[in-house]
Amino acid sequence: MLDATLAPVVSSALAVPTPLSAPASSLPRDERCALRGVTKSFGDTPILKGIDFDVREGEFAVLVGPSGCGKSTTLRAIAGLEEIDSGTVRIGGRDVTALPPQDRDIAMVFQSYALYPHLSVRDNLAFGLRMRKTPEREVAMRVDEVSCMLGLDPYLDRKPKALSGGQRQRVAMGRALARRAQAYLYDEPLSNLDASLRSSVRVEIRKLHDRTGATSIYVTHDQVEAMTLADRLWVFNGGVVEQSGAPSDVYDKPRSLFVARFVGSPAMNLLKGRARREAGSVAIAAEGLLVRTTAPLRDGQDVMVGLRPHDLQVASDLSSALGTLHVDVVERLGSEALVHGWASTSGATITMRVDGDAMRRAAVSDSIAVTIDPARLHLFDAASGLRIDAR
Amino acid sequence: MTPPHCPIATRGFGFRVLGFFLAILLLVTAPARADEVTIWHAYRDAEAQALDTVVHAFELRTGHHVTMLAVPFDAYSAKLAAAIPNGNGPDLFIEAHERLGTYVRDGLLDAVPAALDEGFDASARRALLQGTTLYGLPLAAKSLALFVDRSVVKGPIDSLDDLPRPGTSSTYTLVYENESSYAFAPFVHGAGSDFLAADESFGFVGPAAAQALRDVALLVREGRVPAEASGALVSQLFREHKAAAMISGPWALGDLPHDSDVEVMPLPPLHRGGRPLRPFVTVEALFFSAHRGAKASTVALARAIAFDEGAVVRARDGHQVVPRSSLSARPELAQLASLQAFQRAAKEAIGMPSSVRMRATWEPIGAALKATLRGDLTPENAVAMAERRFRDVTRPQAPPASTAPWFLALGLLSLTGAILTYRRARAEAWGLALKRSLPAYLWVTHAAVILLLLVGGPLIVGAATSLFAGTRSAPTFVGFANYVSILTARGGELLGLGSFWRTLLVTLLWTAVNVALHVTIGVALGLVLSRPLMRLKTVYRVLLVLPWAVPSYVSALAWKGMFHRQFGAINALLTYLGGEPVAWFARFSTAFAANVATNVWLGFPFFMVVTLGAITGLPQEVLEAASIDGATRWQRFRYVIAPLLLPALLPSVILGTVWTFNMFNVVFLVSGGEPDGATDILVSEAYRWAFTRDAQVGYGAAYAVLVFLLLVAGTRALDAFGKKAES
Amino acid sequence: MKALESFAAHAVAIVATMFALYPLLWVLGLAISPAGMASEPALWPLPDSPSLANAKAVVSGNPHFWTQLANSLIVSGATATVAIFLALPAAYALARFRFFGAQPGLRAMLWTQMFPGVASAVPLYVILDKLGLLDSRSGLVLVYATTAIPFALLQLKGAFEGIPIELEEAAWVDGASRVRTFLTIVIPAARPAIAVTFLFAFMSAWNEFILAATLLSRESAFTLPVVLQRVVGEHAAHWGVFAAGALIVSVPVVALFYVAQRSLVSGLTAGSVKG
Repeated sequence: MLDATLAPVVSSALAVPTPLSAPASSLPRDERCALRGVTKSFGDTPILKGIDFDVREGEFAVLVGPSGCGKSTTLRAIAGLEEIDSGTVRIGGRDVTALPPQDRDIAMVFQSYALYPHLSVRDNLAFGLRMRKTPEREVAMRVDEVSCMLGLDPYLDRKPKALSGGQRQRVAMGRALARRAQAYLYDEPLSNLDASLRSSVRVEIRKLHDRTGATSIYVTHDQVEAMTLADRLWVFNGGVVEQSGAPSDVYDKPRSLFVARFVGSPAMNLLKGRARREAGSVAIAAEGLLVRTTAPLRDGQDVMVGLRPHDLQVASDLSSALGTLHVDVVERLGSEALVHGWASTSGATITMRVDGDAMRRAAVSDSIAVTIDPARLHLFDAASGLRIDAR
Repeated sequence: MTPPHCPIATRGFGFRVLGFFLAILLLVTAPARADEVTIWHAYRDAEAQALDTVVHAFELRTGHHVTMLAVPFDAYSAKLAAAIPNGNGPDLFIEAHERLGTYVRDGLLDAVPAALDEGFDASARRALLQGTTLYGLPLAAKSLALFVDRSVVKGPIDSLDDLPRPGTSSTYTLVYENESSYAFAPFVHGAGSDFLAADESFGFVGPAAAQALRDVALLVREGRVPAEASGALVSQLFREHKAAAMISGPWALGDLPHDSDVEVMPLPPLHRGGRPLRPFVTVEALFFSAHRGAKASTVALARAIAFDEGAVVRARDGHQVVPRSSLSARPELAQLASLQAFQRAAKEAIGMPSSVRMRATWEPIGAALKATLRGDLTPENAVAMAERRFRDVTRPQAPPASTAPWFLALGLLSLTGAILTYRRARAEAWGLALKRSLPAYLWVTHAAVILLLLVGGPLIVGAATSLFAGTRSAPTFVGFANYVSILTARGGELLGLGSFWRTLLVTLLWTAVNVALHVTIGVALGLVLSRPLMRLKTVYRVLLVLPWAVPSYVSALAWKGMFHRQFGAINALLTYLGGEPVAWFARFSTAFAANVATNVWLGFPFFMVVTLGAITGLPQEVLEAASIDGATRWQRFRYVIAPLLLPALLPSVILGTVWTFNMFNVVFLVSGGEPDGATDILVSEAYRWAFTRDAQVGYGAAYAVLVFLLLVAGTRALDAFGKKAES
Repeated sequence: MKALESFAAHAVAIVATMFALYPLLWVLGLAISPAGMASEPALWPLPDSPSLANAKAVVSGNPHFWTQLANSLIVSGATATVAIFLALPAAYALARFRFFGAQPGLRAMLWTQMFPGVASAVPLYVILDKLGLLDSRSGLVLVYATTAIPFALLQLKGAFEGIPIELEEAAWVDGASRVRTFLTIVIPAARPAIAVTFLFAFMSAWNEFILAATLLSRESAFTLPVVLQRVVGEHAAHWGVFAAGALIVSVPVVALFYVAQRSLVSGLTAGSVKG
């Protein structure tokens, strides 16, 4: 409840131009945090199978993937909380592979917040500064600055157990932000908050980042968080990076079936199909829909056809349609609706987004002819799972 | 604005820790000063004060410094046995002569300097001889005598029959500690039997012994003597004029009111014209510790205490019966009639043999006495049982075993170990594991070293003792003989009384019943007190943990008192409710129940607190979900709470099992193994072998090792069970 | 229904409380009746005319009473402190490091607890003699501490395992070393468990008298239970004085229990420390 009232405090605090600048750095921009060939296994189970990546200064990097994909392990390897079997970790231009966490000059926000239960909020915020022998005057100043920024002023003398979940989350963030660190690591910091709070804090985090310009590495399994926060995104799967790039690139051109499935909400419709070469194009019969493309496909090649719900449209006439969708459920979200149905011949389930008239007309048991802009079509080789780009 | 305070010690933390340790060391180290003469005793009250007076006078006169130490009786002989061989004993100590044989055997004593052997009564002096060597200066003779309440009894008393019969149910002819073998001794002698025959064989045999048992049983049956009378009760009944006479020793003189009209006399015969009831006389003596060397000051102090000058004070102030004939003429003592009476009693008494075998007679005869008083055995059978037990305890020592096979086995074992270690050390993974372990060793080494030294060391030595027989000073290696003897019940019935297997069954029953009750009551109370809206919760909680906070030896004694047949609260309650009073310690079932009640009382607060903690750890939603699902209270407990609670309680249950298995205090103090050792558990049995049955330390240690092995096996099984339950 | 339930709960609690208190009332009754124990069967344990004579005998009948009380406090306090100080780092290592020998060592230590203490008093005496710690409070403290350490180790290990590892990781990331984290984060977070461990170690030392009587040889060095035990002689005992002494001896422990009451519940159950 208190969190709701907090939000305006924060925004007004943000309006004050307090410079909480990132440390001055003369390093090359791509040298802020770099991993090279990092591997790690627990017993016989490989967890990281050779991770490479670079985070540039001031960048908001997001590591995303399903649970167990290695994203958290990677973050912990950067922090030094996880020993790695091979590879190197560089932070701020230094090779820190062999250094313990306290010597790596990083700050971290934990999923469980990990607030020190016996210390007041003030002392929690100051802990990292004091450990680094910051003069007490500066500690006080920085604590003030951060608590003002995050709206923690009224709670400074409370113990963590007297705070609500949202307030604790803020303290956890504040504890990291009070420090001047080479990089700020976030390990699923929002997963313990309820949905509405999560989206508002998400926005705040991005604002804070934009203002402070601190290098951030953020781990989440929530692709909405990933898409909205990231400057660059690393999609993890099974201990490797499946794809990295700007969120829009990843969304528009998922490199593999896995990324296609994982990124985007609601998830992409994926239909099994087989290519049949025809004059000048390729026709794919995909579970009751007929898709045409100019992509370089062999005759008889098994493919997966990807159709984003947002890209599907109601066809004006059947001749231009991919097929028909029999409507099962209509989820009305206000300005738009999600229509779930099944393809007329195969029964494969398909989701599409509709708005405007189409939304108003959509009703259960209707049949809708659907179509798509061929440029928005995603094709993947069924055997390798890799994307096939149209020429 | 003020800078925020800094609660974390950032500077000088190490110094503070160091300083703290230094402070502790300074606080707890008070170096002992080298004193000129030290003397230990187990006296208290008047006797201790008299000794004080004597010693102070000595100090004032000679300028020597004397350090006196009063040691609790329970720890006295163990302390002497530990300190003297290591040269840390006192110069002098005071102890009854009955342990003389043991002390000489164990090499704790120096002979008395010849110059001091002068003027002591021959009978008292004789008690302190081993062969022809005098080992102590007799200080006081202690024997039982008859105290007659002259406000009740008027006429002359030539036999116990002359004492008046009790008029009401709560008055008695005579009170004495009728379950102790020491107080039974006069009746044994009166019936013409003996504890130990002249040739050191068991003397309590034949019709005479049976007659003694019959005599004392009759006294109780006729209501002339109260049953189960402890020392404190005896003097109290007498003081309150509820008994016409009492049999007690000179120590009871100090308890009597000054104005009381009491006559002390030597014990008369049981019946007119019969044999007098001759008690044992023990001689308390001043002994010279071995390994100290008799300094001149020591000799001077010994003289000051034992000779006339000190003896007068001890007799006058300490009510001691001093065995110096030169004193009887002293006017200041002549008027002390009761002392004179004790003097006469001591003269007629039988000197208690100080041999090692004598000490093995107490327990069998005590068992026979109690079995007869309970009516479990006829006097004849009780006598036979006593003899069997005596033989059991004094059975010949196992033949020495050859150590060669043991050394061979040990050699082979260490060789195998060395080879295995070498092979593992060569494996790369092991080296790596060891290297990774190094930082952890910085954290554990200090604790490991101390535990190894002070827990592991004594334990290994203790375990090794089980391979030996005989005394501490002259042990004989017997290999597994002790174990074989224990496990075969020394040739007797495998499930006979006092056999290992029977005791094991009792121990298992004891553990199972106790732990079950502990957990049930603890969990029930935990559940009740965790009700969120319960009023007075804190008050209940504080009151309910009190049993845990009071020293267990005190509460065990309180419980024993509550189970007293005649004066205990439990029987009072039963009578009040219209029931019959129960002789709690007369039967296995009731004695066992009394032990269990005490131990449950001691142990339930622990489980209650553990349960309270575990319940706070339970996820609240699960409980709420269960109540919404419409589960009844019982279903909720059975299917939701219990399965969640069990894993949290399991470690405590294991701990509680181990504690109960080894719960010595309760069994020893409440039932004391009554009836007849039937309620003894393995630890109390081990204790009896090691300490009361003629210090068969090796035998006791073998018991301890067996207990240890059983517990290790048991807890491993429980652990495995717990793991299974968890998965 | 609700009222009935509450009534039943109180009934159970009251019966249990009576069961818990009744024997203690007997001890109290014995302690305040100058005549000794009742020679009439009685249900109500307290005497009609209470007197403090027994308690006075305990306190003023013993010129060393206050010294011995101080001894008891110092020895028990130092025992608990030393045991905890020795056990803290070891318990932390057992909870947080995986190292060679941890499991066998822990098991061996548990097993030592199952060996009846009957057999090890004399070897202990010899060891202390060789260390020159005989007849000193330090020696006694060391001996008591060794019996307290295994329990403390298990208790604290459980407590440390219950502290979320993230708490420590956060401190490391914040720049604290392992030792620093241990001192400033882990130990404060384990306070309830440490309090309970202290209480138990204190209590076991506080009530012990056989070892104290064996190892100490000066009146002024004795602890109270040793002195208390002296009223129980070979032939007779002053039970009233004994009971009074027992109650006096129990007071500090009861007080500690009362103070530690809150920690007792949470500290006994590992894993209860949450951020």
